[in-house]
Amino acid sequence: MRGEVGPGKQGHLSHTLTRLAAQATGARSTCLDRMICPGEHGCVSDRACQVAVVGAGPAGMTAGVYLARAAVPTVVITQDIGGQAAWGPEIENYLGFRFISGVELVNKFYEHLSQFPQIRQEFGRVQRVRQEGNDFVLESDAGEWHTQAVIWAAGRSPRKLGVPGETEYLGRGVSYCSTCDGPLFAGKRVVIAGGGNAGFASAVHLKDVAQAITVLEVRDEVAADAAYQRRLAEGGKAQVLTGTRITAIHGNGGGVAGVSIENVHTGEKRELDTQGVFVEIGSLPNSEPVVDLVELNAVREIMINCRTETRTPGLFAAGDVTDVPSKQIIVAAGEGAKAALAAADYLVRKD
Amino acid sequence: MAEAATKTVKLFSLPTCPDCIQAKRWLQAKGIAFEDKSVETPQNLEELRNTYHRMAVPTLVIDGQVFVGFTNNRAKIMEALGVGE
Repeated sequence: MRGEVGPGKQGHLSHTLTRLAAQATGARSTCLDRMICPGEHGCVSDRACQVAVVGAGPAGMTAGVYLARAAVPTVVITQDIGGQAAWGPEIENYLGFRFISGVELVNKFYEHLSQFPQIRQEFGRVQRVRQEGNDFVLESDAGEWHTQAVIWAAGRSPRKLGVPGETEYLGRGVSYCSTCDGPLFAGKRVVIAGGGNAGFASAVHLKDVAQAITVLEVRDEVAADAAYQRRLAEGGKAQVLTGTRITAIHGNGGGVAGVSIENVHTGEKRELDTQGVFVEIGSLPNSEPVVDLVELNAVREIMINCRTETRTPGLFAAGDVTDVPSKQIIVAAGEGAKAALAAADYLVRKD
Repeated sequence: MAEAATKTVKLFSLPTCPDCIQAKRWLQAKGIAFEDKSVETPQNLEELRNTYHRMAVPTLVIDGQVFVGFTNNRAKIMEALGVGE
């Protein structure tokens, strides 16, 4: 990390680190350098810490690493490790890796974060963040946390179709993760809802195992990159139907047996036999728990400035939950680093 | 932990599945013994499909009670195992 700090920033950062290290040590132990005090997190108590990072995707884990480096007592509260990045069957051009799977990349991130035992890791779902004075209270299903600053990096969740049968057959043929469940559909007919990059990436991934693939896109054109379209077209196993939506998922009791589809222009309906339905129609930002403390844009992403600040001092946001336009792993990681540095700076200025 | 030790736990998984990795990590951290049934093995896949009628991983079976997905079911899984965070 040190190599990434510009020469002009060294003096300021060094000052920041000294201040924060002193605060950290004063708060809990006699350890003078948290970087060499493994096995001990720096939080004041089991329920209070200087910073909470919510989410452990690329943004949250990078923020955790940078906060560890800055010796800021931090708890990372998360439901999962990796977020959406872990679901990618194949990630291209994350610097240092021409190709790597989401699972592999996320494992590398997690191993890196876990090299800092002073960063406390808590599993849980934060349901609401509220302010008490200048501090924050995070209400989670595993109890409350009190912090001086929060980095909200909770990412996004898959958007659902909202059609009959979707919930009933989840895990019985309906899936939101082709990387996870794709191999279970060897020799089966599958449908993919969504003609964007995620839908086509899933289709390409499934092409090697499924008997036949149908990609359905509501709009009249698919939005996937040409490279994905070319790769899917190879082999002739897949068809793409545009201007078409799924209206219901049917089953035979045990699992999915077919879908009802409809032409959005003519209203013409028909049935498709399928044993699998992979839903890849985008995602929704996990911004609701902080909704009282931030401004949201029209698609409910958290609006931040170039320092990852929200409208509430001490509450920062990073990654795909924000209005930063490029939803890329490397961008999210960079935003996480920015949020950590901004939070560390905020704590210094606050005192 | 004493209660969890008496439970039979099966985990149907794949190495490409991030939620499976988290489930394993959590079970191991809790010291809970489980049978890791990779569905790359055809018999395990058949068992998942035909005995439990599921087509997703991770699927956890705790004394016959079936949970599809780990992260979204963590609280229920903890309750079924009788363990805390």
